[in-house]
Amino acid sequence: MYDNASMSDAAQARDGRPPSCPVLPHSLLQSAVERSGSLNAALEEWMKLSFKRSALLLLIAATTSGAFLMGQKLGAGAGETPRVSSLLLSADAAHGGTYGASGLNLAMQDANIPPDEVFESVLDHVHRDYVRSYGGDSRLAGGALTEMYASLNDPRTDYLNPSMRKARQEALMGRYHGIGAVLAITQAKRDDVDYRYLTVVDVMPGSPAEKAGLMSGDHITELDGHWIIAYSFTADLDRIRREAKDDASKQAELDPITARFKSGYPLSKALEKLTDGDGKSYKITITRGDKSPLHVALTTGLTQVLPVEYRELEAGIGYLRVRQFNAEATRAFGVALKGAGNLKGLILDLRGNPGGVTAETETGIDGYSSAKDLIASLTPGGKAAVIERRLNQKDSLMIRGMSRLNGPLSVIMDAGTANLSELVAAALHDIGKARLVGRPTFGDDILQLFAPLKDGSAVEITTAHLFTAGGVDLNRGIQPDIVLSPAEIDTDAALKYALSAVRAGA
Amino acid sequence: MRSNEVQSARPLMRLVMLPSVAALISASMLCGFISRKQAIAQADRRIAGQVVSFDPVRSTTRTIAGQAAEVGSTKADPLDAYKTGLALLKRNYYGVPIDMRKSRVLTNEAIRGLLFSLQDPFSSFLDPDEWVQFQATTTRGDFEGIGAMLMEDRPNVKVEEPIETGPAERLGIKAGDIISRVDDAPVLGKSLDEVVKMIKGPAGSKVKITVVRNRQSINYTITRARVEPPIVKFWMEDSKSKIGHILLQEFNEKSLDQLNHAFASLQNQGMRALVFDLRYNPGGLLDVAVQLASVFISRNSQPALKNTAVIIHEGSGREQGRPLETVETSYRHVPLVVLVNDNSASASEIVSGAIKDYSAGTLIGQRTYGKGCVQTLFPLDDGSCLRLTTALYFPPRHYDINYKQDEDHYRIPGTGGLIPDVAITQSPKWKMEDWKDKTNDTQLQAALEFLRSRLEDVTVPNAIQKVQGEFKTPNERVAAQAPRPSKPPIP
Repeated sequence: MYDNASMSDAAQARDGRPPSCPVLPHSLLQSAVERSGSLNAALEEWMKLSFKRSALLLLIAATTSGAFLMGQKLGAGAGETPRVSSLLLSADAAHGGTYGASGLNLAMQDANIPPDEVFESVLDHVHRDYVRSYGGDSRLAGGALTEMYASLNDPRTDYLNPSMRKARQEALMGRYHGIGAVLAITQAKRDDVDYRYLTVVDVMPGSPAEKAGLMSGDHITELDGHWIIAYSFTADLDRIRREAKDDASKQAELDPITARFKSGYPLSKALEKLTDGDGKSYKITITRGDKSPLHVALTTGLTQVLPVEYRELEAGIGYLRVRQFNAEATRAFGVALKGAGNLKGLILDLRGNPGGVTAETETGIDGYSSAKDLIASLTPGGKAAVIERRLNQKDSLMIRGMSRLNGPLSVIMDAGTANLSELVAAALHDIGKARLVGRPTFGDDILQLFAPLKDGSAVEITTAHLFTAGGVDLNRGIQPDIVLSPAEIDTDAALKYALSAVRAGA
Repeated sequence: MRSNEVQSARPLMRLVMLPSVAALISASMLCGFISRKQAIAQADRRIAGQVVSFDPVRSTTRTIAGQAAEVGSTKADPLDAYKTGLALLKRNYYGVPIDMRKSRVLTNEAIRGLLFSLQDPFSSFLDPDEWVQFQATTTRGDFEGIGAMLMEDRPNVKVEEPIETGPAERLGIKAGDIISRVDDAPVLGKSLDEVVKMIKGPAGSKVKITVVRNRQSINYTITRARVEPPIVKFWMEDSKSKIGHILLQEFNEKSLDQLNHAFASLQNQGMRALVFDLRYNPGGLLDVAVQLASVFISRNSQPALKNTAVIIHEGSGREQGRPLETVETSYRHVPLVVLVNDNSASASEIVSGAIKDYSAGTLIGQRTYGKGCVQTLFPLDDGSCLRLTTALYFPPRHYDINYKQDEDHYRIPGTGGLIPDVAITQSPKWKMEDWKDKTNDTQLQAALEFLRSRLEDVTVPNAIQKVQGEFKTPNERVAAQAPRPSKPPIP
């Protein structure tokens, strides 16, 4: 039960030194006591010392604060405050000339500021200073990404809001909302003008689109009376500027064209309406080749399509229909091809298969892996295709063959065989000795990356252009060895020809 | 022993202490300096860009074909989303690699998209080039060239109004003329700024302007001159009843002086009532608006309103009333009518709203534009600039005059603005130029009728009733009900 003071007292007592005051166990006081020999004198001296020290500390504190304030004064500078108030008086956005005069020349460009800091500043200001309500950060994120991706002006690179992402992912898994067709924005050049069309890639069996008679290759040009904007307004402006006789006639031509653009739908808006939602009715206009436009009415709904069908046609010849490329398809054709070693031949039907995307993280919808697996399952392997990820930087796609198939292969394809399906058909032809039967394919050479984002949205990015192993651009389409007419392709004739091709190859 | 040690330590301490104290003092000074500079920079950034009540008809919003996202399921972080989105492009996009320059371009687009999703036509982003241009040019068109105010009506550039006594007006260029060529070069599809640049030039030089009017091309060769548009026009409208007419074009630093001159002049001629005309006045400086309201409104005339001229509401929810001020003016109170229409905006609405709420005058004409918000300019570190709506304002009786937008962000006419005490539709036959067409200026005629009654001591409500009865012809009733075309705001 000794506290420090009494301990030292006791210790000191043992040493024979006079006891120090227990109230102030101060080493300096102790030394003062030692020097002066008495507590009173010691206290006096100590207080003098403390006083001196406090005075010194006070002096230092005063000096530093004084210095601080002086620094502030210098920092304020004489001219700054008047400049600010003059800005308040003359700031006027509509008459920018006054800005220069009043000194609002803060346009000091610092080219080294990283762009994301600029974005962050804007975001901070919106959070801190914007006066209205705006529906939350998800709207801001969506707006930022939508415009950033749209500015690339690439119809296969875009931002999918959460609702669109869901519809897209479901479609890639075989559940098609909307009109039940796979649609894509395709580009073409005509008379020096860049056209973009909302194009039907494939019509799913049993879908509203099928009931309405839509076909692969159809362009959808109008939706509920609104023109689906197919080209940039400047093309018309340029043309009118060139062709119109005089200024007055120019004006006369311009007014109806301006109205048409103003009431028109952007492609993305039309695409979204037709591939999402159930139970909505639409009137659309279709152009098909050179024929006159068709007007059809449809009601949207859900169409489900199984990825794979398999059966044996006759002794030893298998028939495998692959309608999609995704993880489910891989599993299904893997099962189907287990007994491939016993087959005398195989028909692979790729009609109406729209292809797919590459997805690093969403493995369920990764079509690229699925397509590669199919090539591996049906060929001895080799150079399957050429992939161009950067301009003029082509790489070979090498596949390790795992085929157990001992007999010949034929592939049925049509105008709806697109993207990864065309890649597979060409690869099976080049390294699997497959005979191609049917119609020239769609001609889609874009490999799209699908990347999900944390907030439930996603982006699609054009990540490569696809070529056959021989270097032919897939946008030309793949030519069949045995050509069928448009009338035959959807009938039993297709299967018959494919069968004879397999038998002939034996 | 100890004291010796202490004593010998003293010189050493002194050696150490002096420089340390000196260092401490310098350090504090530096801290003070830096902290003050920071505080000023911050204040500068906030205040420096206070754009007060700017011209809505010439806002520089671009038309962007984008879509706002729907609300996501998980908490969204726009900065993270933007960074991820950009990184994904950098890593995976086919074609030319995305370098720093392209990253900046994409970032600026992302910023524009973010602002677009606010659905606010007055908030926008100016990249460094645009910001420099914005500060250098006036958007009101060209006073130093041919003397015409131009406006954009996509894809055309039109004459909004030729400036009185200017070269364009003297040669016969009219409001509504579409500019089709400048020195024979076609301007179709060019922006307002580009056309203005083509037309402007040194006084004395010539320029050939081709306009289209009523489907006819007309050529004019104009000698450029220095033209300054008068902000205020005034005359004794009714010399028998001594009713003055003062027209204010916009709210700038010259407005109050020119108005005081007009008041004095008309009062010298014995003015007994005043038509204060704010039609087509797109706004301007907030301070001037408050001063003008203070001219027309007597302090303490409405105790409930506590001498508030306008209420400013900020994003934080903070609301502050700007008080009526003591203003040096020659104005002596007389019965007052304020004429307004669909193009009376912003500062015009502040003045009219205050006058209406204090019953200091009677509003006659058309429902006003509906811009009750204020923008601030925030210059950013990389030389670009953000313009953001940072405050709303309400008239003294605290109601929202801002217009509503449709799903494409276009203004829905008739959803905002002040409702006049007497709603009078203008005769479709009225030609606005020069304000000389009195016969067809139905709104002015109604104002004069109203003031004549007031000068005969008819009370305000009775005078209102009288005028409403006289000016609602069957045709006007039909015209008032016809749906107005929904035009996008002029960029």
